[in-house]
Amino acid sequence: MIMQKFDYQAPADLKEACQIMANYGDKAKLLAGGTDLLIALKKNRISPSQVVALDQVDEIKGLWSDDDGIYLGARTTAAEIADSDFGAAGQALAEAAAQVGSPLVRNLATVGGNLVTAMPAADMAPPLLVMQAGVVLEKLGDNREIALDDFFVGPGEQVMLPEEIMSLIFLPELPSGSGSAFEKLGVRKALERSIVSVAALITLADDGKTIQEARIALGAVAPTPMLAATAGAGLCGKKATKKNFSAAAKTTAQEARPRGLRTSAVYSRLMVEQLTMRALTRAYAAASR
Amino acid sequence: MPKKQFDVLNTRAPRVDAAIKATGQAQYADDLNRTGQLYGAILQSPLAHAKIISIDTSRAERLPGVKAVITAKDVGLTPYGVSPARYDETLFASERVRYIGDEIAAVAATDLATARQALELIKVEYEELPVVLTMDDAVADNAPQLHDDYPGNISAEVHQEFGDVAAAFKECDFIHTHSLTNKRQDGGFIEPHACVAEYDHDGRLTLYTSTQVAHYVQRTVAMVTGIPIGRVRIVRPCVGGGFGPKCEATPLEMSASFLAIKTGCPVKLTYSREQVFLHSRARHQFFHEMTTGFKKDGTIMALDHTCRLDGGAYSSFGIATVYYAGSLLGAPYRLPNMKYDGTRIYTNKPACGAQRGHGGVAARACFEQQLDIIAEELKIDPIKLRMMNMMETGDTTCNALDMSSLGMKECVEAVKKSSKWQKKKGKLPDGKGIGMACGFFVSGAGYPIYRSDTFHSTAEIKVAEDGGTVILRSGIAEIGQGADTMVAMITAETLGIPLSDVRVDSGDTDYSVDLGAYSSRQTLMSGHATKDAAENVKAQILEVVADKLNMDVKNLDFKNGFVKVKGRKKLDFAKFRDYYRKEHRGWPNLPEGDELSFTEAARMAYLEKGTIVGTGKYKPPILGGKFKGAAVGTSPAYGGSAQVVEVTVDRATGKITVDDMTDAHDCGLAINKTMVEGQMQGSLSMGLGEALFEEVKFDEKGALMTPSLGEYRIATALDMPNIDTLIIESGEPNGPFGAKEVGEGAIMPTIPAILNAVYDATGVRITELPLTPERVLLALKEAGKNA
Repeated sequence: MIMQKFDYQAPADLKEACQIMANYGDKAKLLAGGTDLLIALKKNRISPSQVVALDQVDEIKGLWSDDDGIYLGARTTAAEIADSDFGAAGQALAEAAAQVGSPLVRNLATVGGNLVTAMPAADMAPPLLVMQAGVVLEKLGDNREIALDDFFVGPGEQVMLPEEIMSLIFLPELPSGSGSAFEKLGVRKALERSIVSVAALITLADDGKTIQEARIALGAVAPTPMLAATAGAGLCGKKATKKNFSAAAKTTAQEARPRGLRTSAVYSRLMVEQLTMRALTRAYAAASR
Repeated sequence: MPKKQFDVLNTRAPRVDAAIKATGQAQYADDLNRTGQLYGAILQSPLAHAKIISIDTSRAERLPGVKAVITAKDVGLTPYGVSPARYDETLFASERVRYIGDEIAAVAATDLATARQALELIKVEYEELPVVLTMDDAVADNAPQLHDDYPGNISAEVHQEFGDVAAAFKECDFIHTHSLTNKRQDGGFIEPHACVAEYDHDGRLTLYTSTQVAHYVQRTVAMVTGIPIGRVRIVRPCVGGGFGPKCEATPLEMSASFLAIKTGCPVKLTYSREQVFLHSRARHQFFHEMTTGFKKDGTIMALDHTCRLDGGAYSSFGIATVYYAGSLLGAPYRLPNMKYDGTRIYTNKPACGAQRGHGGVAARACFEQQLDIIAEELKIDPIKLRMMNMMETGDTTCNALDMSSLGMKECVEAVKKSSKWQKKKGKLPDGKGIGMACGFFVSGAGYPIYRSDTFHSTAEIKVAEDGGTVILRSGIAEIGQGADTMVAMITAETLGIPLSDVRVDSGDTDYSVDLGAYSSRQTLMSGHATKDAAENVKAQILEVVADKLNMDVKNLDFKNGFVKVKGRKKLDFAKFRDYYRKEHRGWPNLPEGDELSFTEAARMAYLEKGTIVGTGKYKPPILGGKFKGAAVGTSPAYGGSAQVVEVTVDRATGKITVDDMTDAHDCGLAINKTMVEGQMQGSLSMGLGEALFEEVKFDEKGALMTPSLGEYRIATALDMPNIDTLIIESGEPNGPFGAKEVGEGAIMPTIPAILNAVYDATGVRITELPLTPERVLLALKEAGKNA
């Protein structure tokens, strides 16, 4: 394990970081938690001339909120998210963060890194998708916000330009009566890449029984984390019943696009159905609280 | 026998290496650096099977910083391996490569990056050959052949029959056949192999290496390099685990040695994790089929057993493995008739070798399931069936293994009680299950790997000239399991001194002969040699004390660091005490009080005789049967174990959670109770991983798909339930102070206990490991028992 040589840059703020990225573009790699980057460097999968550490860039750390919603600094660690209270509507995110890697990994790994590396099994992507997260991408003198649903392109690929830095993840305020849940199936209890992961979010109407809105997102069963849009839409206006959840879970399984790499596609779809059922059931329980 | 009272043994003394390991001061092979050291790298084949047409090293040699490039042309083609009966490897391939990872050349350079770069400049021209990756393909007609000397890709074959199986089957009321397949496993130790070789002006080679078997490495390195064995010294630094795969000389060690000889500089080589998987020498994949006949009262009559092992490209330990896979079913149940046909097959993959529970783990997993099947058929509790057929101390197996002590019944009773078996078996809610299994293992191979009358262990104890410290020098392999602490405790107990007065220098072929850490041999064998050396030292000192103080030596002994006198005569040592205090005027902690200390006594002996040095030795008596292969499985003693496991099976996903484990192990006598429990815990963790997670995978070209501990999953701390560890002490007559093995036997029951618990939870028998959620769900669906 020997890394190629590189210059180590530690910008003091976002502007300086953007300046460095503008200068070096794809010759530079951003270092947040480093749990993916260091492995790639050690295995010589990448050989950047610049490694740009973001640990002094305080603007992109931590959580805060206003009337519009919650702002998550991209540099916020999985451990911090796992320990945060997002209410019933956001519990899927805390649950997913709590299952990233191991305690040691969670202390380093960041939500931004989890998204930017664009792995199909990224734990925090499905809950952020059902919460309709947007991501803010910064470059020198400019920024853009795009929906997370439009962010992923393929395994390891997303829409960011080489000079861009993900600064924030924005979670719009969810209506009251919303609840979410995250389900992950792996073989081990830690350090485990999902076989299948599912996040579900349900918003109940005032009667507490009619589903006003529902979204379901999947991990590890398509080239990217994905929303099961048909299944989610199909639940809207329906009653929150086992039967309806079961039909939605079946639809979700059909929407999944497993590639049959680590488990057979048949098994993956079966698990999508199972985990969706469980996630919907728990999301409903959370929404009813 | 009544239990003896001990002062040091049978306690929970802290390990002698606890402080350096807890503080990070412990030095492992890769931590060592020598002045002028070069860094090595090894070129490995990118093809699973190919002819080598040409090797051109000229560009690599010209790269600035490169000090040596070696290939088969430079080092020759001395065949080597583990068993002299199957020397089927050479350090570097010259004409043919047989797996992805086969070694072709090695480079030494001033830094690692240059060494790696040089590898890329070596040009090898190959002619690809057809690849065989499965056993079926390897034994098919017209299959590509791996070794000219071993036609049909048969690496080794065993055919044994004890008693008359066919005749016994005729007397049986039931005959049942069952099969099991495991997957190729890896040791998963934390520290990858590493070594530093030095070659001095007098033609002496010193190799610092992470190994379980310095003695065998010394022999093999001497043989392959051609350096006289007395000029080869192997030093083992701290080792971060071995579990079997570090039980043989590696291409790493031999490459470093040749590079050091060629350059005259120290050379360091370290495997990456991927190279650890490529070197492998870990657990084989086994296909077991067992037909067991039994009477309706539950008596087991006969076993007809066939086994095929996927050996990979070379033999390694494979001959022993194929024997162990059969012979270790001879106990712990009375089995009067046993037939075994085992075949080890070559494939174009890394070679498999020995791993914890060598050869016996998958066989045990298959057989113990079969006992449960029989119990169900007869409507007998599986524990009762086992107890009915269980051997006892003094029994001999049909393949001539002598159970000189066997606490199996006590183990079974202990786990039954502690797990509350009777309250749970058959009474757990759906999806929850309880299962049990037993196992046993050797306490050291009865014979060395090469034919020899050598002692299996020798030891040397020197008492420091002031009498205050006892130094044990031993070749034993402390690989994390606590061997140093074990011999320190035996030394202290034997001499009657506190453990803190003993220092252990171990793991150097200069200190003593010790065959190493394999076959769970060190507590019994190295323990004996240590005890022998300590008794020798004690006798020397007491003789002087008796003579000087006019006592009968028979009435003298040491206890807790002081001379003890039996009988009425008092020890008059006032004059010697005065003398000692005067001679050591100004020293701290001078002896006082009314007892003569060991320190004073040892000083007295030094003044009379010079430096007090005692040696000890051990080799087993002639053991076992006379049939071919009788040496494998034969041991001076056998450890036994029983386990109960509780699981939850998610019928909708197939995911298994192990909720609880209860383990009892008969280790004869627990030298150190905490370390015995540690071995039990570690064995169960490895067994759980093999049962649920672990599989080394290859693609269709023979390339490794699981080159890291991210892809290859061993159990994490979170996957381990609480384990109830119960120590059973049967008192082994052939063991030092009654002690025998715990390091490997404890893994034997884990996999079948999990499989039996899964059956209890679901009503489905699964015959292929690991029990991944997908495999389990598929089996449940086939049986119509999924949710």
